[in-house]
Amino acid sequence: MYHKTFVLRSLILGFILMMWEFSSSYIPQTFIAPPSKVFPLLLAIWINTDFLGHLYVTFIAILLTFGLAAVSGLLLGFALGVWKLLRDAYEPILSMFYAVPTVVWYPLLLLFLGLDIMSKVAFAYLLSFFPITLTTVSAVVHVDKVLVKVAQSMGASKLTVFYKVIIPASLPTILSGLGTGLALCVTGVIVGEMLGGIRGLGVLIASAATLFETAHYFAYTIVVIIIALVVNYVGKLLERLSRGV
Amino acid sequence: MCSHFIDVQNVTKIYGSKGNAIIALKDVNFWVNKGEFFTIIGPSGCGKSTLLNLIAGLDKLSSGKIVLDGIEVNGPCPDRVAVVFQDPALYNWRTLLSNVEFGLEIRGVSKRERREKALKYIRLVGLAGFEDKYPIQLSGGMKQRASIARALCLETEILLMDEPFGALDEQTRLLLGLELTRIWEETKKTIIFVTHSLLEAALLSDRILIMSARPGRVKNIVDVDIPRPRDPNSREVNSIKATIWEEIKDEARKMMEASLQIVP
Repeated sequence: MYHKTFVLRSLILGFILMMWEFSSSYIPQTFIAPPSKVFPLLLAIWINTDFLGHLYVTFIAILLTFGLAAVSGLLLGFALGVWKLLRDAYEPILSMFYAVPTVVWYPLLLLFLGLDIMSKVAFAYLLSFFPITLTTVSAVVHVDKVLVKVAQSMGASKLTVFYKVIIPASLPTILSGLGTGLALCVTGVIVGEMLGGIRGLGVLIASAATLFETAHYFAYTIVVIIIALVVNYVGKLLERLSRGV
Repeated sequence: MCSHFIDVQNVTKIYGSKGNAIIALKDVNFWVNKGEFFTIIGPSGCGKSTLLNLIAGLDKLSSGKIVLDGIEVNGPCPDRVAVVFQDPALYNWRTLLSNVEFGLEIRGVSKRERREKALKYIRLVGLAGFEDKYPIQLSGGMKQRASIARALCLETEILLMDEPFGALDEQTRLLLGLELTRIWEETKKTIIFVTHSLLEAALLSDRILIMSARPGRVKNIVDVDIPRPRDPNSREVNSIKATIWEEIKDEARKMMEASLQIVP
């Protein structure tokens, strides 16, 4: 069964590649670069260019953002999850900010933090912090009450209930929130770089697009796709592990 | 005054505040002897679970008092009372063994000792061989056995059971009920068992407390003098069932009609 799925999937991918190659002979190569040009370029960009340097900047920005968003999101999420009064007061405000399209803040961030990495970190932070926080709150709130009751009936203190019941019970949901957060960090950093920056993968993509270096544009985009796939996979893996499946 | 093993005196429980207060229990009085299998039965919503929560110290009384072996209940007392809930409420991230050890872990018992005890009670409830399984790998009946083992592992004198077999199919619940009698005889615990099943009450209990419709009060207490092991189809068991039914049917009807009333 699994085998057949794999074969069919390969066929579909092969078909897409073929269509891509095929269509590029009818459409001007300014608009679509064929795989036969993109894939060699994908190998070439690592040598004799500063691609690695750009990638490094993007990578650092993503890691820094995710670290900040995860720590602050988890702390605030747990605090709001456990403390009902604070939750009732603060959660609507949080949700309201979450509803605002984050990109509207970006010009302001550029103004305050400059074109360098910090404006990207701040932008991506705003994107990922809210879902991490809100998922954590909801995970904690939805821990089955009877699980808590069992621990209480056995004499567990509030602190014991928290780290022996609340945390492990909410962990799978929290990890899935962190996965979403990480994906949004990647999006935030790259979009931020594309909208205005000095170095980074997003800057390369934007400049290749502006200069009609279509083959480069496609190659960089494939790198982004690979990063996204890895991030997505890591998120799913963590979630699966925590569910013990 | 009198010193019964478990003494429930004039217990009243009111939920909510003045405007829309609900009287769940009103002046409930009864006592339970040491080593007794005492069952509380009543229509759904009569407050029997509330009563059990109060005895377990998981909820606060509005008035009255509950005394366990000379000491008044004031919060959970895990060294004297263990509770089994209707939901087995096992921790999915722990193995069966580690779930059963949980109470002793909280109590700070050494790893070796709690392992030893947990294994003993896992054997007692018939789950030997499943120690390393996770709850999602167990059936409903096995989960409830595990949750009973977890409660037994605390080695308290009193075991409170809140409709522990309520979510199981009839055959499993009957078999587990009979096994519970065996466990009770082996461990010589005092059990307060809440159920809405007439058969379960008649089959397991020494005495049966019948509760009225809300507000929950003691309607009657029935003695069950049938020697064990009891046969679910025997005339004696059936006659006890009939007695309880006579007492309870009007109460059940009242609760049902109350729940059907639509507020304009």
